This record gives sequence, C-alpha cells and structure tokens, in this order.
Amino acid sequence: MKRALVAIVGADNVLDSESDLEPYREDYCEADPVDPSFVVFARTTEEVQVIVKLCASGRTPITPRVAGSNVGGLALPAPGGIVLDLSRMNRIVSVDTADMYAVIEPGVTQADLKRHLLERDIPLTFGFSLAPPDTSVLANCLLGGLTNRSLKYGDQSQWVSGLEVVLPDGSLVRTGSWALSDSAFGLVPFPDVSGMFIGWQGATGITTRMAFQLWPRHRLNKRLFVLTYSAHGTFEAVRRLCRTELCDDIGGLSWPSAKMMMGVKNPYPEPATGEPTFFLYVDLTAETAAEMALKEGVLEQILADIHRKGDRVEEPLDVATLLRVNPALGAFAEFPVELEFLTNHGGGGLTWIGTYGPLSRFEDGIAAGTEIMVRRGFPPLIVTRPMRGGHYGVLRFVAIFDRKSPEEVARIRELNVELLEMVTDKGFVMYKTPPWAWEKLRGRIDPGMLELMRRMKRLVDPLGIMNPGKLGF
Amino acid sequence: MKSARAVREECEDGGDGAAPHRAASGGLVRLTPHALEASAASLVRLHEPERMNLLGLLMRGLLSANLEDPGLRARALALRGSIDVRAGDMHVTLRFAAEGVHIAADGTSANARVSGDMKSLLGVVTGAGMIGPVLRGRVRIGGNPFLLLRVLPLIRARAGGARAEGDHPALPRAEARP
Repeated sequence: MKRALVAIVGADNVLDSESDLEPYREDYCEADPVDPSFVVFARTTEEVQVIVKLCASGRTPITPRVAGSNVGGLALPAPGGIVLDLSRMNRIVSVDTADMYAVIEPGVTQADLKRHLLERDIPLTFGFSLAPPDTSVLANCLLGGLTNRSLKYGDQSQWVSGLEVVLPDGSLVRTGSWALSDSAFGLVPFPDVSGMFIGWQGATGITTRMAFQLWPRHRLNKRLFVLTYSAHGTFEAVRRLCRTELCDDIGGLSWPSAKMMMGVKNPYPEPATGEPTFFLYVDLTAETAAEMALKEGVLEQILADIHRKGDRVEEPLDVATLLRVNPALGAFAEFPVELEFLTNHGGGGLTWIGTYGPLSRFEDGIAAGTEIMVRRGFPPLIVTRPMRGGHYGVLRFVAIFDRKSPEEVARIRELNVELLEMVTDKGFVMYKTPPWAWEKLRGRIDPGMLELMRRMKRLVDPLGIMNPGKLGF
Repeated sequence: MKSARAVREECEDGGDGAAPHRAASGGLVRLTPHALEASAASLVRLHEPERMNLLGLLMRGLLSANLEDPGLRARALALRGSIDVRAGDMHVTLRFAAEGVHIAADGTSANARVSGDMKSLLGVVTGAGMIGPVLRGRVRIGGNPFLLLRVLPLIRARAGGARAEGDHPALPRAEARP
C-alpha cells in the first residue's frame, strides 16, 4: 500500500511514522483516538482519483480531512484506513466578480479566501464561522455549518452552487449548472444531485472543487453589542430584529463566554447578581452613512420598546468602545477568530451539542440546557444565531474539558447525551452530527429516510470505503 | 509621563524600603518597592474570580492596563479608600491599598460611589467626560468626590491602549473599501 501511495503522490506526501500520525488520531472532542495506517496528501483532483481507486481495490477506508478541528470526530479515521489530507489542495481557482461566486479547493481556509478578496479589492465577501482562521471553507459548506452571514443567507450549504466530486470508484462528477454550463451560477434547474454530497460527512465521495456564492461587501460596517438580562428579552429582540431584514448577523452568547474571554477559565456555573445573561452582537452594513444611521435607529427603537415592555436590555455598545475597555473582547471584533479560551486552554478538550431549530423554542431550550449544564457543574456556555431570515436558528451548548482526565471525559459524555435528548425532545436537530449522536438518534429518525439514505449510500459506495463509521454507515 | 525609574527615585527616600507618597485621604503613605516592581496584573486582584461579575472583570482589565504606566501605578498605590461602582444591577467595590487594588462584589460600604447604566459608564471610562452624564442623570455620584476624582484616571481607557475605530488590528476592516 505504501509503495503504491508513494508512486502516486511521492514519498514526501505519505506519512506513516507514529509521531507523524499522532495529530490525526483525534480532534478536540471526547471521541476515542483512532490510528490511521497512512496519511496521504493529495494536490490534484487526478491524484485523488487514483488514490480512491487504489483504496477501492483493497477496500481500504478513506477519511477526508483538512484542518482536523472538527469537534464531533467526523475527520477521525476508521481503524486501518487512510486519512486523505486535502490541506495542500488549496487553490482559489476563480472568483467570478460579476456573478458573485468563487470556485475553491478543499484546503482553502477562511483566512486564505478573506485575504484573496481583500488583496484584490474585490467588493465581495463571504461568511466566517466561529472556527479558527485555518479551517476549510469547503468543509463548513459541505457540513452545513453556519457563519456570520447565515442570518441573511442560511447555513453555508445553502450557498453551494456546484460541486466537483470524486466518487468512491474514482470517477468524477460535476453537479449543478456546472454539469452543462461553464458558469457555476447555481444548483438549479436540474435535479439537485449535490444533495448526495452535502451533509453526508464524506460518506459518498471526496469533493475536490466547490463553487459557492459570495455576497456584496458594503462600504460601511458596524458591530454593536447589546447586553440583555433574560432569555425572553434576548430572543424577543432577535425575532423582532430578524423581521426588519436590516441586520447582517445577530449572534447571541451567554454570560460565561464574556468571562472566559476575559481570562476566567472556569466561571462559576451560575451568573453573578445583576449580571447580563446574554450579549448579542449585531452586524450592520450599509453603503452610506444615512443608511447606517437608519438601521441603527431602528435597532435602538426595537430595543427601547422591548425594554419598555419589561425585558431589560441595554442600549447598543459599539465594539470599539468595548475594545478600549478591554482588548480581550477583541476576539469578537473581527472574523475569522481564534477563540483561544475554547481551543487553547489547559485541558485541550472542546465539545458541543450544536443544533438547528425553531427560534420560537429558544427560550425553552436554553432554560432546559442551562439547568442541565449547571446541575452537572459546567458553566452554561451557549451560542445562538438566527438563520435564513429567522426561519430557524442555531442553539449550541459548548463545554471545555480536560481530555487527559478519564473522569472528566466520562462527565462530558453524560452531559452531551442528556443535552442531546433534551434538544431532540424539543424539536431541535443536531448538525455535524457525531457518530455517537447518530446512533442515539437513529431510532427516532423517520425510517423511510434512513432506508433511502442506506440505498443511496449503497448505490454510490457499494464497498463502504468512504469515511466509515459516520451517519451510521 | 514619568519613567519607572523616575517614579522609583521619587519614592525611594523612605530608608526603610517604603516610599512616602501623599494619600488621597491626605496623609503620607508608604509605597513598597515590591508593589512598584510587580506586574500590573498582579497588583489588581479579584475576590473569587470564578464568581466575579462582568463589571468587575472589565474593571480589572482597565486597571491592569493603566497600572502598566508607572505614573498611574504610583498614584494607584498611593490611594487609600474604596469606591463602589454600579452598572445597572451589577456592582463591585474597588479597594485601594499599598499592595494594589482589590476588586470584590461583596456589597460592603465604600467611601465613594458611582453608578449608571452600562453605556453611560463605559462612556465615562472611554473619555466622554463625567459632567454631562451626571447632569443628565445618567450617571450618579456620591460620597467622597476627591477620591472619585483621583480614581477616575485609573479606570479610564488610555489613548495608548485604545485606537480609533478602524486602526485597531482586531476591528473589522473587511468591509472597508474605496
């Protein structure tokens, strides 16, 4: 196997020593480490095709990976399998400024694409996830992740306008308008075959290129922070602001996140007396100062009205003001962001139950999730964001832990199971679903859909070599 | 602005390892060389950090940044007394002593008080001035006004540490274009 891989990509692009494989055994989360046989770096679509054919001939499992910063074990290999590291396939193939889309390879990171657009003064932008700058844009799209443009445009999978995918037999397919046109303007009007690869966690093929939509970058932007003192006030503000269609983003973070940003490693699980329970960050963009002033005015009116009706909310604070008071709050001043308090703490572990669900149920979900986290001794670190105009939103319960402590890993697992059951009962659906959670949910998912997924998987990957262990396959 | 050496020399005439400095209360107090040499962050201590409220953490950030400045550090270490800061329903007490500043949220009485909504108080510490918000009733003060006047520079966001919008490396620039 090694000789064959070296023949395809060269000796420098095949790793098999214990120390080289070490970083590929685990991610941030509580999943058990898994040893791959090899790590292979591909640089071209053609190399990916040959590697996949080689693996198919030996029924060797393949797990695609870029940054490896997933928190659900989705990029952990199957035992004995190879990790196909796509980080060196990092070309921004094209940016169509007229039709507002980019074609990128899997290794293009958030930082790469941002830099590319800014350096060329291209008046377009895209959304940033709360993941570190070195994470893959393509992976977040294929996994249906969210960004700071998700309020306007939905989760990032909804921006995909075409895919180039290496199928498990090594053949190549292009989807969307790209299947016929030289322009990857959208997934319409053919049947949406891209759905075979979006949300499938790499279980149906290796995406080697992706076209996805970019959005106008306006001349002016402003990020405002709003301190709120009740879940009802917080989400009443969020729901009303969504319907104005004036905001680019409304992120909501519970009180422990601000404390952790300011250096409190393990905040007491309950808020201090009189403390705000949430802070919202609201992004506004505009072409003119008058437009910005109008948007700010509407925001202030809505907040004042909510305050008048009995839910205490503070007036919006400019991010520049907060930065002057405490530069640590700069973590939320510019995206993409390295949230060191989550990824670089002593214990090294980061996990979450991240869900999409109806905004109307957020207060209920937050109350139940807070009770669970506090009871189990974890600060209720909660991340929220309305998405796609407010039709749904993300509700995420985040915990950090010491990966070296078996007791703490066990506590985290129990916490996550209880949170998962609670959110599922309330109608929320976990995204980037880890294998353990899929197993828990399997009995509750519509059996017809599961059967259809099984048939689709068997159709494209009859040997079952693509990222085994994910989505129950 | 005085250099650290100048401040040290100014304070190193006590002969017993402590330097005389005029306290806010009017008397001379001794500044220990240890306090003058310690890191600014170590001079600002939180009572029960895990339970400290957001206001206390913001105050720690401001004080720690300001106490990097030798002149402000000397002034802080010379102060004696306590001030209650209240933003909405959150409050903290800042106690100034020879060892540094102690921040607690224990509700004990203080020599001076300042309160208001969060936005107005942040306006004060970022340089918007105190008089306007006080006259408009958005910021209220009480107790020893002289202590308050001496504390204010210590909790004001400094120009050196603060940058105009757009200059700060962590501020959004992505949307700016010609």
